[in-house]
Amino acid sequence: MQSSSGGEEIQSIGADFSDLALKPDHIQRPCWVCPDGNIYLEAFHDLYEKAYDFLVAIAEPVARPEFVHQYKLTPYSLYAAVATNIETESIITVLQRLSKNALPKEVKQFVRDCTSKYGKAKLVLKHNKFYVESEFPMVLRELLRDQTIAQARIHEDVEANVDEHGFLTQTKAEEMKENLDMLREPGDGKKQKKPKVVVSFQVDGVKVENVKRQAIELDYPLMEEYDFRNDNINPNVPLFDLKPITRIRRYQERSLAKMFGNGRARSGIIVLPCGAGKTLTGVTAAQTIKKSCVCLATNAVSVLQWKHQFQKWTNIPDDRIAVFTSDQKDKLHPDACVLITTYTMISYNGKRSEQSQKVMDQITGREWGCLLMDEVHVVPAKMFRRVIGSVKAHTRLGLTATLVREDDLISDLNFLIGPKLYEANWMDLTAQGYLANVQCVEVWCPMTGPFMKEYLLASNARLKQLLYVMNPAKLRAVEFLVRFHEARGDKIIVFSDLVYSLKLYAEMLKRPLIYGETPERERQAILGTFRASDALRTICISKVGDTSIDLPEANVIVQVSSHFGSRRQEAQRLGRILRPKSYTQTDGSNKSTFNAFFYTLVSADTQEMFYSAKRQQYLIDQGYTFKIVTNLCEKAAAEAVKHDYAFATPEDDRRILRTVLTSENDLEKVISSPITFPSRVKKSITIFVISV
Amino acid sequence: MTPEDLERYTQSQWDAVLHYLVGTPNMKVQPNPAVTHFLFQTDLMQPDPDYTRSSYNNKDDAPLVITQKGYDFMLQDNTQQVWHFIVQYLDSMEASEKKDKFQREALLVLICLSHSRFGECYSTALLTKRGLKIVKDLALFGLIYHKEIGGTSIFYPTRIAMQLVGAGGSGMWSWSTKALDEALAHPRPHNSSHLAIIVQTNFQLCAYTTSELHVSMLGLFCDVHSIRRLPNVIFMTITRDSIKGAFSLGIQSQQILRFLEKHAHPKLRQGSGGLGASVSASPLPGNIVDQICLWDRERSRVLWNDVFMHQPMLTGEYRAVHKYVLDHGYHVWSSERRNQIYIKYDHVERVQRFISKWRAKAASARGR
Repeated sequence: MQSSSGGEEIQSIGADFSDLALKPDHIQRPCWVCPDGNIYLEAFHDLYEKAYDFLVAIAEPVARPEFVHQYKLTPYSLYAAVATNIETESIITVLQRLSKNALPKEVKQFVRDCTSKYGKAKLVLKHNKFYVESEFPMVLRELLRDQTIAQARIHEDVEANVDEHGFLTQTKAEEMKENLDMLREPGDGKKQKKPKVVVSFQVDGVKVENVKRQAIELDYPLMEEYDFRNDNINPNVPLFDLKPITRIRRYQERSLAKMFGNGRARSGIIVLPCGAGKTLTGVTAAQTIKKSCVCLATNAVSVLQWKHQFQKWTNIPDDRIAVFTSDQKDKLHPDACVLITTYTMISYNGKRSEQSQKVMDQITGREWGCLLMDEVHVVPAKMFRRVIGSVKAHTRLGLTATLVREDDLISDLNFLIGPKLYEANWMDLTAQGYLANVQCVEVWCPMTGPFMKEYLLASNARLKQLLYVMNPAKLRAVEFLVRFHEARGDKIIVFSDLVYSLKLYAEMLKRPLIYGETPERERQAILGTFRASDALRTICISKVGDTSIDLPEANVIVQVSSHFGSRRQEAQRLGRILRPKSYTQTDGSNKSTFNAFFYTLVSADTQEMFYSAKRQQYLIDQGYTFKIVTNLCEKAAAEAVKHDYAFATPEDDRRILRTVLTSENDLEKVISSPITFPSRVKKSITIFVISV
Repeated sequence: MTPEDLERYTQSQWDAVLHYLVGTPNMKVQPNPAVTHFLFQTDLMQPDPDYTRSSYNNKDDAPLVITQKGYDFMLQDNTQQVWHFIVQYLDSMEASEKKDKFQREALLVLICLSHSRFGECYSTALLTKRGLKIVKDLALFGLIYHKEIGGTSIFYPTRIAMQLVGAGGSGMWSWSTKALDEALAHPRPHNSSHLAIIVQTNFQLCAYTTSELHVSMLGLFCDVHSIRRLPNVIFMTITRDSIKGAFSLGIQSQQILRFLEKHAHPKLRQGSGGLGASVSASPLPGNIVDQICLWDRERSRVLWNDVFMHQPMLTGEYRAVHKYVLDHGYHVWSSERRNQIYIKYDHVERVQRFISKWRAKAASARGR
């Protein structure tokens, strides 16, 4: 079985730091800093907001429940901090200021070690020439000692701003005041610092890749910055401006401020919860740069959503926005344009059709201002390398809601795209009404006797899985929940990973389903009806609906089966209903009332319980709670008999069991489900016809 | 002996008793053996069930661990605890003949103590023989400081002892009220009696305390391997195993919840209860309360019964035995196909007698 044993257990092991010295005025300070790099933050402290901004910039959030948060300093998080212009010594002073205990010397050492080399040198593209830039002439001299780099160097003709080593000098690009606010002590805002001087040397554009590789070897990874305002070779996309109606929220602004902090564009990743407006953030970033832009999405449905969003928020002319999917291959505007496509379209390395190859040649032959990557967490690293290799982009921006992977590839992203620039707190956004307030419910469905018996006797994992997914108690619970919520006027998504069971559920509920083999047109039609009409209140979706399908109206999820212990899938699915509803309050009262529901049905006493606990970990760390309901199935069973559900009697249960056991072998192949429905239901089944 | 010394003395003596109760390892001050014996006698502690279950160990060597009653005791505030002790102490004299006289004497001593002055020393010369014995006993628990100096025996009454009678129930010594007053937002270092716990929705406890005792108290139902100690706060997690561990000592889920509620950090009581919390009176997150109750319920799902399996050997034996055990209510489970009958263990001997009788009869029938 493919269980997902994520390498990193977040559980921190016990430790005794009780002899750390507490400062006399510790009450006024919001954090504890442990020698092992763990930081605890009181979320109810007066200084919380300031401290939060600072801590997400320098440390990885481990758990953020309502009262006390936990963060951890890691080499990557410190790298990200340095990349956004926070200096080593400011990290230490601010930590010292926020900490209730005297800052342990181990922490100081760790911060210094991690930041001594990271972020000391940058690769800047300016006036279409590449420069290696640093505040420290020593670093440049060290880099130039390397043969490869020295050979790539181009000596300047102009003597004006050259220092004794032949380095160009100029004043350092100012970081936005807002980004540095958190570093200041309240009251010392007036102090003017002397502008800093940076030195740089130019390198040959052709040899840039070698220089980058060599710099990593020397442990001075070059951070890339794009001085797009001074790029006058790549043309701007005309009219690529935000419409006046477009409103940017505070957290979106914060994340963009991190990206464009010094007037240049930095590469990196922005982490915002699903439904919090990642798309708008991406669109705004692209239009700030105003150059040609490639936008990568996970599937064709979300490609169209991206296009729609670009047109909704900006004035971009229609001929400047192109879509490149297997169905649609628009022509690229010869000057500058926005291209939206999928990862697979770009990374595909088999033989392409002539038309597709033509577009691909245009993509690889052009210099792009910005590469937007949606849902970066889902893309395998290998695919990434290929994408980044074929799209020559000056800035790379990754967007995601859940920077967790069951494998340990997150660290790859750091070097392929760039550091994490910003990460929003789910609970804060919920409290402010930017996200729906979701009640998460775990419904325990006891296995019926015969199912339990087969489950215990089953020798292979697949059959076991099938048995706990097809548990009749679950079927009844689903029907009960769907009836209940439809009556309330809610819109419901039923998720099942197992296509076989998805079909059964769809048939039982007489609702349409979407899975991998559903043609694109039909998908669009179903989703369109679901969005627009009250006639369709429930749809059944397989894992193709996990990401990127935007269903703003949906407010209830019933999860029947899922991919083992995947924390990411759980968070992504929850994300489907996080978009704030029309009735979500933004005055802070959103905190106290639930307006969306996330049900996970779990067959009691089976492996599913174990997986379920594992899956919830990420959301629990974000501060969500799962309410366990144990008596819903009894109620559903009673209702089933009273209201003539599809599966109500023990005889019905046995029928399912028989089909499960006999069809186990050819499960995935058999499309037309061999389940025989109870006769009284059969008559009333009408295949749901979708009006296109 | 300054009042501060006296205060510290009581605290350390009393803490030693509580520490012993909750099983803090490596304590500097060990309580007097008489005290530990007393804890055992009054059912506040029991021999470790894990230890005694293993047959290799001598049951008499079993270390003492807390009982359900002991846990209840621990939840009380100090005045209550001390009174509990005194009552038990008076009860323990039941056995002695002169019980009445003794108890009267003891009460007299207590009343005298309540009129004595704090920080002053008194000579034991004025006490009766019985009175002296009582003073010495109370000294064992740290309620009185007793000393012999150059042949004369003196004692200092402590604040708790003085407040036992008179000072109106909830004296200055009530930890809980004190804790609540001070807990407004933040703990103070060096005030070892303060405890404020934040229970987080991710099963993490965050306890503002500096007391070793509190660590041990929490350790009874938290995962001890996850404990992270900082100067004025302790982080630990509740796990299924840790709660089950507490259950196996006889601690009830309700006791744990009561403990957490009682010491809940004021922030938990404040306001709307936050995301996901229902509008219930409890300051604890709903999911944690539910989960602890569910773990509790898990225990009652499986019942253990001792049974004896009988496998009939002769033809007809299955039926005869089956009928016999059914008729007499000894039957637990049986399967003719597997040729097995499970019998309630308590009645095995009877059934076996029946079987041998039946076999004898069957053999003689065949012989005939």
